[in-house]
Amino acid sequence: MLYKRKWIGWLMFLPAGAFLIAFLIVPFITNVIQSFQNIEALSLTSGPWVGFQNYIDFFQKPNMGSLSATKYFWTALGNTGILIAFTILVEVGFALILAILVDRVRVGKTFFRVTFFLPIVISATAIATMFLFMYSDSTGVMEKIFGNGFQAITAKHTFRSLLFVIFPIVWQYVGFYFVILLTGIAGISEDINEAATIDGANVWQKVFLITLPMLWNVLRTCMVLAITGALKVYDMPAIIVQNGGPRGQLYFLGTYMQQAFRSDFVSYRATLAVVIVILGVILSTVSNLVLRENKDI
Amino acid sequence: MENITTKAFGNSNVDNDIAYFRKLKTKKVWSIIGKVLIYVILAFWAIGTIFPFLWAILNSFRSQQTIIQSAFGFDGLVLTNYKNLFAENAPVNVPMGYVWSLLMAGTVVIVTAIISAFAAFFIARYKGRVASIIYYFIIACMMFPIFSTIYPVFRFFHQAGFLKLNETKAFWAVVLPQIAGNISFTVILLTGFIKSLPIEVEESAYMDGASTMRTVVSIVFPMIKSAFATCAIFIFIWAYNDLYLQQLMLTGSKIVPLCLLMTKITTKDTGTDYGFMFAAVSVICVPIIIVYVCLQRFIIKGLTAGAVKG
Repeated sequence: MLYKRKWIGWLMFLPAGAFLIAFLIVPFITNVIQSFQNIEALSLTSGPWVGFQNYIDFFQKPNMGSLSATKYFWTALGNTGILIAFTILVEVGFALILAILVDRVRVGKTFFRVTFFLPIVISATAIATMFLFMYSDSTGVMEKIFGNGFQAITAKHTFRSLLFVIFPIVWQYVGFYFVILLTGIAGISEDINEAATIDGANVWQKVFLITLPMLWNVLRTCMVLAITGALKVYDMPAIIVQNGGPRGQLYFLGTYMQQAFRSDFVSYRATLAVVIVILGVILSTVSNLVLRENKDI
Repeated sequence: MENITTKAFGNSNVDNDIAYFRKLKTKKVWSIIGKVLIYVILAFWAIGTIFPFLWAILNSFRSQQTIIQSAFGFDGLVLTNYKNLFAENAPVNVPMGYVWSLLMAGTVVIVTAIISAFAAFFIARYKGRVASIIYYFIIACMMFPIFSTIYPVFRFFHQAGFLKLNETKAFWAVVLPQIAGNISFTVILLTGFIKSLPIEVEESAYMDGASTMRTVVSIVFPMIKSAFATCAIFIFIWAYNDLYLQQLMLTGSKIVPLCLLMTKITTKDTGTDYGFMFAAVSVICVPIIIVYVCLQRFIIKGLTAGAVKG
C-alpha cells in the first residue's frame, strides 16, 4: 500500500547515483581501459591496445614515463606495510592499554578522553606542520631530546627516518581507537567482572580472561579500520618529507601516487590506480578473513 | 559464656585479625601504587598529546631569534608574529582561508546530507531485489581510495576549464568529488537509522493524505535528526581537513583554504620566519580546539559511531 509508485523512489536515488557514477565508477572504468592501452602524452585520451603489457612493465621495468620510477613503488609498498604493522601493533595496542587504564580510574575520565581524542579533530596538515618544525634543525627540539647533532630525517638512517614519519601518524590516531575501545569496555557487563572477583580472580586475570576476549569484536573493527586507513595516508608524509624524502626512500602509497600524477605517461598512472584498488580489496578481504568476527559474544 | 569464647577462639582470633589486616594493608598499598602508576602513564600520554599544540602556541609568542636560539626558552610576550600574519601585505590570508574552508566543508555537508538521505530512504523503504543490489553497489563504492579515481576527474575539470589560473570555479572541482566520496558512508549510516523507524508513523501520514515527498521531508527526516548530526560532524571534519584534493585542484587558483595555506607557509613563500609560521598554525588550530572542547561530547560520539558503523 505504502510507497507503491516506484518512480518516486528512483527519483530519490537519482542524485546520489549520478554522483557515484560520475565521480567514482566512470573514472575507475576509464582507468581500467587506459591501463590496457599505451598512452604516452597528456593530450591523448586513448591509444593502441597493448593487453597486459603495462602491468608486466609495471612490475619489471624500473622506470616508466618521465618522473616516476617503479622501484619507488616497491619502496612505497614496503613503507606502507611497515606503517600497517605499526598501526596495528603500536597504535591499536597502545590505545588498548590506555583504554583499560582509563576504565580503571574514577577521577579525570572525561579529561583523558577529551585530551587523547584532540589530535583527531585537528587537520593532519596542521599536525604535520608542527612536527615538521619540531624535526627542523633550527628549532632544536630534537637536539634537546636526543643529544647534539641529531637529525630526525636523514639519508643516512632510512629506517630511523621512517619511524619519525610514522610517529605523528600513529600519535594522531591513538586517541581515536582509544575512544572506540573505551566504549567497548564500558559495554562489557559489570556482572561478569563481579562474578570473577568473587571467584578470586586478580586484576591481570580479569584483563586477560574477561576484558580482552569480550572486546575481540571491537578490537577487530579497530584493526580493520587501521589497516584500511593506513592505505590512505597522505597528508603527513606529504608535508614532513617532500618528494619521498632523501633518495625517495620515504614514499608511501598515497604520496607515491601523487608523485606519479606528475608523469606524462597516462597509462602508467591508470595502471597504478588499478593496482592500488586491487591492493585495497585484497587487503580488506584478507584482514576480514584473518580477523574473524566472534559471533558468540 | 564470654570466658569460654575467649578461651576457645581468643588468641588465634586476634592473630587472624592481625594477619588479615596486614594482608589488607599490603593489598591497599599495592592498589595505591597501581593507581599512581596508572595516572603516571595516562598523564604521560596526555602531556604528549598536548605538548605539540602548547609548543606551537608558545612559539607563536616568541621572536624569531629566541626560537632559533633555544628550544623551550621564553622571554616575554612578542606579538609581532600575529601583526605580521594579519598585515595587509602578508603572504597568506588567514581570514579568507577560513572563509573558503568553511564554505567548502559547509557545501559538502549540506549537499551530501540531502542527497544521501533521499537515497537512504529509497533503500530502506522500497524493499526488493533492486534496492538490495543498489545497497551493495554503494558499499562497493567505499572501496575506491580517492587516489585511484581522481585522475580522470582531474582531467575532466581541467579540460572543462575549471582549473584555469585565478578562477573561482575550481571550488567545484574540490567540492564535487568530496561529495561523491562521502555519499556511500552517509547512505549506509542513514539507511540503518531509517530502517529502525516505525513504519506506522508513515502509514498514518499516508492515510491523512500526505504525498510521498511530503512524508519523507516533514515526517521521516525530522525523526533522524541525530543521525544527520552524526553524519554532519563526520563529513565536516573530513572535508575541512582534506589536503589532497585542495593540493591537486587549487594550484594556481585564487582559492586558498586553510590546509593549502598551511603548505604555503612551510614552503619558500615566507622564507624561514618560524615565528610567523607558528602564529599561522596557532590561528588555524586554536579555534578548532575551542569548538572541539565545547562540543566534545557530540564530536567524539559522532566520529566514533560513524566509523564503527561505516
